[in-house]
Formats: sequence, structure tokens, C-alpha cells
Amino acid sequence: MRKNTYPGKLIAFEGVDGSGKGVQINLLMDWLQVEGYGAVQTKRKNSKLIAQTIQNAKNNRSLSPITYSLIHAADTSDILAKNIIPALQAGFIVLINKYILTSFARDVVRGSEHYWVRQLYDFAMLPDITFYFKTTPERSLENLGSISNVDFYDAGMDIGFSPQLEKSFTMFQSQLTGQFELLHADFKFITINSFDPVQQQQQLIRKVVKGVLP
Amino acid sequence: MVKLFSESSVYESKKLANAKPDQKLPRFMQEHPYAGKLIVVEGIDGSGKSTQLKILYNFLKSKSYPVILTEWNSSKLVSKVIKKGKKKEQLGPETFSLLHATDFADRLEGTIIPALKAGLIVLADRYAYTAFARDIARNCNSRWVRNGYSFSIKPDAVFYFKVPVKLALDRISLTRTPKYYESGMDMKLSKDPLESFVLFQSKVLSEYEKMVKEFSFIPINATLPIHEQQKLLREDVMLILKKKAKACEKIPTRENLLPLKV
Repeated sequence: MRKNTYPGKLIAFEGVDGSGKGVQINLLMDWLQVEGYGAVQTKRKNSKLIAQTIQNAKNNRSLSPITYSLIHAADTSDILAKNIIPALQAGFIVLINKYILTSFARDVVRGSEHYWVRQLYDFAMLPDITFYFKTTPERSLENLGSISNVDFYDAGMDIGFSPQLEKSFTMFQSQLTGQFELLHADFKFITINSFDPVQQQQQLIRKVVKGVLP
Repeated sequence: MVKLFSESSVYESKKLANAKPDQKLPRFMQEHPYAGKLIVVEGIDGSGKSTQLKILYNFLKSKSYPVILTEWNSSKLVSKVIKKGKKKEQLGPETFSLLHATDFADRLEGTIIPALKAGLIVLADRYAYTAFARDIARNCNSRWVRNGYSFSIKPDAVFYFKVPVKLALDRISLTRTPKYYESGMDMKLSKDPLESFVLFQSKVLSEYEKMVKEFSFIPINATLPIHEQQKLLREDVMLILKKKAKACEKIPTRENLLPLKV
């Protein structure tokens, strides 16, 4: 994977669903703009070309672990080429909600080989900073409101942990958390404790981001 | 085709994804364990492989062999997106490669392998080799492309339709102008689509040539008249089918199979 050599900065927010990434991204975005920086945000599954197809396939439950990995990689490569790199070239701070670590964790829990998934994302660009939001399944379920807001794949139902949505979600999330912890060895990230108050999390994030701002 | 997420399909998928490219594409190098036969045609656009495969398909059907035909970029899952992306000329080389890999994986798991398990003959118009040739001609890293396709299985035979680029272009030009990606216009090799076609397809052709030995392609001289090529193709295919019949005792014929909607 290549490093970012453009004038802009790429900041990734990783963590399971309901870990509070979105709230922090919005706060950081406002702050950056107040400070006078150009900032844009994007997210996984945001490619104009592919996102709708992923959504349809998820609704029809027609993704296997392999096609799940591949189509999300295609989505990332499309976002990278059309949104992220042009913004970085123009000197923007790009905030992305779920990036490569989410793919690594999810695909490996789905049974894909580490090496295969990492190689698959070889085209991607390493972020300047990665924040990882650490939480527990109970806490993230609280944040998401209700289990009915979680879709089939996000609950890991395709893996077959349990036929019960909530139980499957809990087991999937614990497995994902385990994978994220393992990824720390290869990808330095800054862990944000989602049990801390929102303002305290934001202060830490701003402090770290200040360090890379031009 | 309806896909159910039984535990076994996940298990199957896991086994496929666990192929390590470090071990030089293990699945590509060993015979597949299924009862059916997988026959692949490869070659540049305009080499006449699709024509040959369709004639072969009808021939096998007329002989009551259980046979299906699957084409590149025809999965329910993503073929529409690929077509749309191509039409709008907005696919980068990596996105192009990954979307085609998705299409291929979907057909492999949903169509090809189930058919092979049921003992059918699967005729594939293009296979992973197409991606190896095209994506590498588009300057994607060769190790990266092969890793992306490392879940593939080894076909029983790969027929490589060898044709000079100029002749391929003449054939295509008879009915239409070459398409944007077919000509590699995204590579900005030339502003003239015809010239770009020649430049790009020559690169693809040289990638195919490199693979002939590595993947034991069976070359077919695609400049011969259609019926002569077909004769050669049938001879080889019948040999392969006989060999298969021995290995798995007998090929199920249409009569002793329940109607299969593939």
C-alpha cells in the first residue's frame, strides 16, 4: 500500500457499527471548517457506481464471503479514484467513515485468508491517521437504537453464528473487535474509548489531528 | 438461480477464499474434484472464440450431453454495473479488475461449481486468464491481479484462439466499431479508437502468449475457416469428455438428470 504524498490528509475512522464514529466525524468536520481548513467526508459503500448494487445484493442476500470482499474492494477503489485522491490533490482533509481496517476485520471474520484480503487492498492508500473506536456489543446496540436497524450482513447472519439476530450481532461484533485488536500490530491506530464523554473523545481527536495539519 | 445461505455454502466459500497466492495459485495447479468438466475458451476480442463455443454448445446438446454455457460478465450480481460503468467510461483499472473478479466469483460459486458437482459440462467463454491478460495490459500489478482471482479452480481444458490483432480488428469492424474499453481507450494510448485497439490488444495478446506454457493452453489457429477450427475443437473436447467419463465412471446424460435450471 502506498503512502499519501498529496498535500491533503486522509483520516480514517474505524470501528464496529454503533461505536460513535459518525458523531465524532461531524464534530471534527465542523471544527476543521471553523479553523479554516477544507474538509470533506466520505464513507464505505459510497461509490456512486457500486453502492446501490451492494445494497440490492445485501437486500437479496446474494453475497457470498468472496463476492462480499470483492465488491467492497471495488467500492473502495472507485471512491479512492474518484473522491479521495482528487480531494487530497486539492489539499483537502478527507475524513472517511470505515476504511480498509473494517474490510480486513469483516472479511477475515467471514473466513477469508488474511493474506488474500490484504493483498486485495494493495491498491489503497494508507491513511495519515486512523482512529479506532473501541466499544462493547451492548453499548453499540444502545447507540443503534434497536436491533431491527441492523441488516442481515451487518449482524453477521450470513456467517451462521446464530439464527437469532441479536445473538448473531453480539457474536459478530465480539469477533470483529478481536480482529481490530490484532490489526493494531500492523497498523498503528489511535484507540478512542467510546465510553468516554463525546467532548472528551473529540478533544483527543482534535489534538491528534492538529499534529498532521499543514 | 436461487442462492441459499446454507452453512455448507459458507464453508465452501471459506475454502475457496483460503487459497494462498504464495503457493502459486494452488487451485489453478491441481485438478478439481468435481464430476463435471470445465472447458474454457480464451483469446482477444474478435478471435472468434465465442462463435466456436456456441457451435460446440449446440453440438454437445444435440448429442444429449448435459451442458451449460457461461459468459464473461454475465452475473446477476454485478454485470449491469459493469456495463453501466463501461458505457459511462468511468472505470479505473483497479475498479475494472475488482468488479470483473466479483462477477467471476459470483458465477463460479453460483453457476459453475454447482453445475460441475452435478456432473455437467460447463463451457466458459473467457475465464480468469482474461483478467490476467487484460488487467496486466492495463498496468495492474500481476501479483495483485492473480491474488484477486486465487479462489478460481483449474479448468479441464483451455483453448486459446490465436489470431493476429489486425485480423481481429477486421472481423469486429465488419459489424461495429470497437468499444471504449475493448480498444483500451482508457489507457490513452492513442486518440484514434482503431489505432488504440491495435496497440492495446497487442499488449493483451503478448500477455496471453506468456500464459500459454504456464497454464497449458491448447492453441487453436483462429485464422482457419470456421468449420475447420470447429473440427479441431470437437476432436479435443471429445477426448477430454472420454477421459472424464473414465474418471467418474460415466457422464450423466440429460435423461437421467432431473431438469436443472441453471
